[in-house]
This record gives sequence, structure tokens and C-alpha cells, in this order.
Amino acid sequence: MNQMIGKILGNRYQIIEKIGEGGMANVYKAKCLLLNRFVAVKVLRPELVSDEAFVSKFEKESQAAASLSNPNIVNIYDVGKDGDVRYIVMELVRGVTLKAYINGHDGYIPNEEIIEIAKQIAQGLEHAHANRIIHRDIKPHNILINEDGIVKVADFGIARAVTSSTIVTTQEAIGSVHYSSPEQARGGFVDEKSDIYSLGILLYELATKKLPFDGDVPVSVAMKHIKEKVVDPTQFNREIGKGLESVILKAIQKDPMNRYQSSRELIEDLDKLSKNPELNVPFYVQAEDSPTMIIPNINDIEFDEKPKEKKSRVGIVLGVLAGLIAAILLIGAFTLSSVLDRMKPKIVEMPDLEGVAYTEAVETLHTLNLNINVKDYVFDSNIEKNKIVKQSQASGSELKEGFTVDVVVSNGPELVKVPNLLQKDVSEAKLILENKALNIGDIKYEYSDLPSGLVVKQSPTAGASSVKDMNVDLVVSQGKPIETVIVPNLLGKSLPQVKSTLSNVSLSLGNVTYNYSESYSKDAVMIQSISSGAEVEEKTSVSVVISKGSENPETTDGTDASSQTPGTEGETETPVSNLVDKTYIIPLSFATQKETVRVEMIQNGVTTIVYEKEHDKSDENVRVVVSGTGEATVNFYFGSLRVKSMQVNFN
Amino acid sequence: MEAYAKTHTGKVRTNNEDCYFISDEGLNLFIVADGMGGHNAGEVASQVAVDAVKKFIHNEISEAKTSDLIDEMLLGAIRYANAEVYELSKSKESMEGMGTTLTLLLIQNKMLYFGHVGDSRAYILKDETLEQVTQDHTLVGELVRAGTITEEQARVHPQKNIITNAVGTSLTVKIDVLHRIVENEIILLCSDGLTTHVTEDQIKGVLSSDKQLDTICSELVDMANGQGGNDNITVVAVKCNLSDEGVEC
Repeated sequence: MNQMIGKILGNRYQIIEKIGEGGMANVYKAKCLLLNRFVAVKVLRPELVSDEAFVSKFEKESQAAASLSNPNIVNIYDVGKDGDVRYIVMELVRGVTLKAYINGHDGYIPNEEIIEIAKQIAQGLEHAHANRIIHRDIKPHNILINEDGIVKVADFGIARAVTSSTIVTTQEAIGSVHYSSPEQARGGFVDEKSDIYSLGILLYELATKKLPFDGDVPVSVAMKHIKEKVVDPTQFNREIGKGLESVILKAIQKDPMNRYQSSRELIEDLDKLSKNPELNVPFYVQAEDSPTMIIPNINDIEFDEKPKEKKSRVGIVLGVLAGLIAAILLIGAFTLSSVLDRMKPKIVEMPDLEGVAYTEAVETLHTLNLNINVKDYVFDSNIEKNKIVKQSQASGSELKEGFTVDVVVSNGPELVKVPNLLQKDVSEAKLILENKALNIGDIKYEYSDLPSGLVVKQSPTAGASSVKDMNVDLVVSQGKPIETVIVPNLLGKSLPQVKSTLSNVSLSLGNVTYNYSESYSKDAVMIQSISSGAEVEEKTSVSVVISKGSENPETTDGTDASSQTPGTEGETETPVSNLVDKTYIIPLSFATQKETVRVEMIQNGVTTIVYEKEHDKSDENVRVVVSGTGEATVNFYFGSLRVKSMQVNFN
Repeated sequence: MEAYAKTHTGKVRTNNEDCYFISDEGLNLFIVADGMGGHNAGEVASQVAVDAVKKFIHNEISEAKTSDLIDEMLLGAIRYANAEVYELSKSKESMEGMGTTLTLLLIQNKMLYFGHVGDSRAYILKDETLEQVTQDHTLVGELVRAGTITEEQARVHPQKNIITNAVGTSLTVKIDVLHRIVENEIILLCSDGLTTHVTEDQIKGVLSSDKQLDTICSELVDMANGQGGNDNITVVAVKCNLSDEGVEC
């Protein structure tokens, strides 16, 4: 497809470079020569162009999508064709797909960010739905985030175009099935609520970095969408707000009637959440830290204000009294002195508050008419959260009533965020943990598609809060399980039988060469490079030598006897079952890019071509098995150049 | 026994990627293959697979004396076809990923032998009952067998074109083989171009009409075209008459 580069489509769009590849189309960056701007051009794969039904649907859907215009949608500028090339011209988005964004994000994505992304996607959908266009294939691969953080939904309606062409389950189809709604899996009626479902699944993934329904094969995923209950997102990531969780769970209700009925409804809830996460939240529990912060403040205010109020009242009383008669003044003075007398502070003894819960300490001091002031919060691994660590006055000391005691309250043991260790090397993971004052816990090994030695799972997961010195358990990849198979017997079989037999056990056929044989009839395998019964890895190549039948005795007789010594004549009559294999590895050290590699064996004046094949310089070393009896000359050629000649003794 | 086949590009496609084979030289073999892949690779895949199966069975049939050995031979033949298509697909970029469905019938020693990969189908009409002998290797087929969706939902499912198993798309292939005794019946092999449009009731109606096989084949193809013709359509009809001498050919 590189011939696209430099091409000008429709006299207008000059293709610059390939920026993406998909099952239906390749995407190129191009320059619009008319408007002098960069655009993205999606070019339909040539094999799909011959499917007219597909093309007409594709065009219809693209034209419908071209009528949309919204900041949260990848806008389509033009739909065109140039010769056999069908293409769509779109807004060029400088950014990444949401899939890449999720994968590239260490640890969990914060609530606010998820809410913001969700809102933007929902706004794009709202616009499309208002124009009666259903996306049908919302998934992170179809959503882009540009450099300014604007989220854009791509490929509206195109999913609808794919129908009649037979396709084998592709990676792409598997990608979609993770996000498709129960009614899509069932092949039922699809409307805007199906897009809302897919968006809900996507939000679930953003929040937990996990797909709610997963399986080895698409069919099991589809069935889970239809039947299986979802695990609450907070089970995986405790940082998710209850409000966000209920939004996600409502969007992915199996019955469309229980979901948000429109994108607008969803946006309204998301708006409420971004303003105040406590709204629209049935089971919201206040964050643990706040109560201890609020109580001392309220108490301080009360203690401060009461005396002030008293003082000012006394002031008013005095002011009024000043203008009155002496007798009353005397009574007034008496009253005043008794008030003052009552206000004279008593002495109380300071209690021991260390290790006492803060709320209890407030009450204890209150009854003693002492005030309390939280001077500091500290982490303390010995004293539980919200209990007193220190008091400013030693227990037993004498204090005047109204005295303010400073205290230090424990925040509990210090918490650290568990770092992301996935796909890191074990030794690197260990270093990262040490830096965070965490320890490596149990290490288990499992088979995985990741290279061996890399972390596959961690517990607790990245982003979770953990106490210092806690253990983080790891599951480490031990690489792919090596499936071994037993090499079947190929001797005596025909080439079709060999191919069939090897296909059955997941082995592939290596080189096929031909040689004379006295004991195997023509076209039957006389030698297999790995003997039957051997245990080898799957996909190993097995080479065979196929019999050309008996070396015609008349020909040998006809040639001049002088070319044969009596000794070698004896050896040619040795039964062929005594054939000995010699394996040669030929490094492709020729100067040109491509060259024919040829190996010939000369024995008794007869030249047998053992191997002849064109190779690229970048190919792996060539392995050639030469089998024979007695002595022979083996010559190696790169093209017409003989690079080596050897005398070989097969005995 | 008599047999007739018909293939048609349909009303939408520009090329025919289906391929069929019917009995020659006394070898009672019938094949339908529906190829897929770009740049006409679908045509290549179905043709290569059919040729490979024919070649393998020609070579081996004399050795296959029991029904178990014949089942084995059919597995071997389809595996050989798989290896040939796969090898070819790796040799040229334009053929990368090509593959084919393959459904075959072999009649031997008063027995019907079926070999099957993909979403082409074999039907048997006997005593006015139409039975689908093969299981569709499709996502939707699996959903139906799992009881998740009904046959009716499957017929209009948007993803019904996704097949889960094909000849030539990987190093190994999953193959269904089965055999049963010949009775007086009509066997129909067909590509999905027929069954996408034509219901089983309609197929049954045409097959039980007592018409000539060529008329039956033409009517089925016309029906599929009349109801959309979105894909290539191939039908192979085989009629067995059991006599004392064995199967009449």
C-alpha cells in the first residue's frame, strides 16, 4: 500500500504518510491542496471495494456521518472516490486513541478525569443521536484525545456497513465484542441506548483498567454481556467515588429501559458529579478524614464566642447603669462583683489523654472546662488513627479552667500509594518498592504472553493506598507455555500425506529435497530431518528428503568405469538404509541482496543437487541436510560462485 | 445416483469466490468451498483447497477400506488442503490471511461421509424431513448452540458473517467428520449465499418437489438472487437411489 504515498486523490488530497491501519481501511495523513490544511484520509481496503453492497452502505453511512459537526466528534469533510480508491476525508486529530491513553496511564485514572472524558463522549453522542445516527461500535480504539485534552469520537455508523462479506474472527471484531450491548450480541434492536451501554463499559474500563466481561473467545464474551452480573467497579479500585460507580452501573444495565434513556440524562448526572460528588449518590459515605477536621473548628468557634458575648453584655449593662441613680448603682455594683467572682477560674488537674480517642478527649476536657486545640496530625504506626499522640501539658499538672491544651492527633500508620509494577522486571519492581518503603511479598510464577521475568499481576493493585512496610505480592510471567509435540513418522509417505500429517500436529514442513533411494519407492519420503518420536516445540519445521527412485543402474554402467574406483563401487551398493545425514549451516554472506544458494553432492561422477533456493540476505542461516554413503564431494554455491568445496566422509 | 451443481456470482459481488466439485471417474466426491481474502485470493483459496482434497482422496482411497479409515482419510485430506492454502498464503503478501470454508460429501460402500469446516452447509432431505447435517462454525452458530439466541435471531444477526474456523488461516484446523448409511435421500451442499436469503422451509419445498436436479439447483439459485443475492451462491444436489446392487451411480 506504499504506492499511496505521494498520490493525489480527487485532485485535492496529497497523501503524506500512513498513520493507522485497520481491518476496513488504512488511514493516511494528507494535505488538502485546496484549503492548504492537513487532513486525515481513510482509504477503504482494496479487497472491500469489490464488494459493492459494502461500498454502497459504507458511502451511505459516511455521508450521514458527514452531516455531523461537533467538537467531540471527528468531523468528516468529504467522501470520495478516485478510480478504484474509495476514501473519507476527516479532521486530522493530533493525539492518541483512548486505548493508548488507558494503556499509557500509570495507576488508576482519577475520578474527575473519567467524568470529564465521559461527558465529552456523551456530548458527541448526544449530537449524533439528535441527528438519528447511532454509532454502534463505541470502544476506546475509536475515541481520540487531542493535545488539548478534547475527546473526539470517530467512525460513526461505519460499523453498520459490515455485513455480507464472510470474515474470520479478527482481532478487531474481538475488540468490539467487549463493548457491544446485550441487544447487539443478540442481534436485536439497536438504538442510542446501545451506545450508552458501550460507553458505560468503556467508563468501567477507564475506572478499573479492567473489562467487566472478558473471555478467550468472542462467543463467551457476548454471552457474558447477555447473562453475567457485573462486579462493582469499587471492588477493583476503591478510589472510585460511589457517585461515579452508580453512573457506570446505570449505563450498563442489561435491560435498555433501566439505562439512561438519553445522552442528555447521562450528561446531567455527570455534571452534578463534577460539581459535587456527593449528589445523586444513594449510599455515599463521607470520606474518613473530614470529621476530625470539622469537630475542633466548631468547638473553637463556640469557646471563642461565648466569653465575647458575655463581655459585651456586661458592657451594655454598665453603660446603661451609668445614667441611673446611686442606689441602683450599688445594687448594680454588687451584681457585677458577684459575676466577677463567679468567673474567677478554678484549678483542675490535667488528665492523661495519650492513646485516647480524640472525640473522647474533647469531652473529658470539656467537663473540666478546658479547651482543646489540635496542633498537628502525624503518622504513627503505633497509635491508631484519630487517637491522641501527644498532649502539651503533662498529666497531673495543675491548670486553670479555660486553659487551652494543645494535642497532636494520629493519622494512623503512614500510607503510600502502591506503584504500578505491571510489565516491569522483578528486580526493577523490587527497587521501586524499596523506594516507596514497601516490601516484595510472595512471588508466584505463571505462564503468560508477556516475556518471562515480567510482572503480570500485583496485589494490592497500583494506585491503592497501603501502609508502609506492607508486602506487595507479585505474579511473574514464566513466558509462554511451551507446547511440545511428538514428531510423527513420515518415512514412506507421499508429500500430501506429509503435509496433512504435519498440519495435524502443528508442525510445519521445512525444506523438501530429492535424492535417489534403493529402499524407498519414488515420491516416498526417505529421510526426515527430525526422527519420529522426538519431542519438539510446536511450529518446528521438519525437512524431508524424497526418493527419486532407484538410481538407474544402466546409466552408471554406461558411464566410463574409470570414474569409479573399485572401492567406491562397493560403497554404492551399500543398502541405502545406511544413509548418513550431515547437516550444514550456511551463513548468507553474499554481497548482493538476493542470491541463489545451491548445494551439490558429487559422488562417483554423478552430481546431485541437494538444495537450490533463492534467499534474501536478511534470511536466517540456511540449514541443509546432505545424506549419503561413503565419500563424496559437497560444493556450496552462491549463484555461480563456488564458496566452498568439501570432501565428506559419510561413514 | 445422480448429481447436479450450480454456482452464481449473485447480484452484488463482482467475482465468484465459491468453488465446487462433483464426482468424476467413479469417485463419488462432492465439494463446496467458499473462499475469502482480498485481491481475488478467496478464489485461489477455495480452488487450491478443492484441488488438494481431490488429489489426496484420489491417492488414498484404495487404502481406505473401513469407515474409520475413510473418516481418517477425510481428516487427512482437509488437513492437507489446510497446509496447502496456509503455505500459499504465507508466500505472497496479497494472499496473506486468505482461507476458505469446505464442506464435502463422499459416497462409498453404501455410506455417506461428510467432512466440514466453516459455514457452508450440508442438508439431507429424507421422508419429507430436512435436516442440517453440519454445524456452522460461526460466532452466531455457537451462540445458538449455547442457547443464547434463537435460530430466528441468528438469521438476521449483524455478525452472522464471522466464522470461527476456516481452512488455511492457521497451521491447524478443526474439522468435523461424520458418516451415516445411505437411504433414499437428496443431499444438498451449499454456500452461505443460499442460506442467507432462503429459509429451510423454502429449501425443503424445492427439494421435495420431485423435479429434476438441474431444475432444483436453478430454482434455489434464483430464489437466493430474488431475495437479495448479496453473496456468491453455490448449490450441489445429489440424489441417492438404494438398490440391491448397492448405490446406483
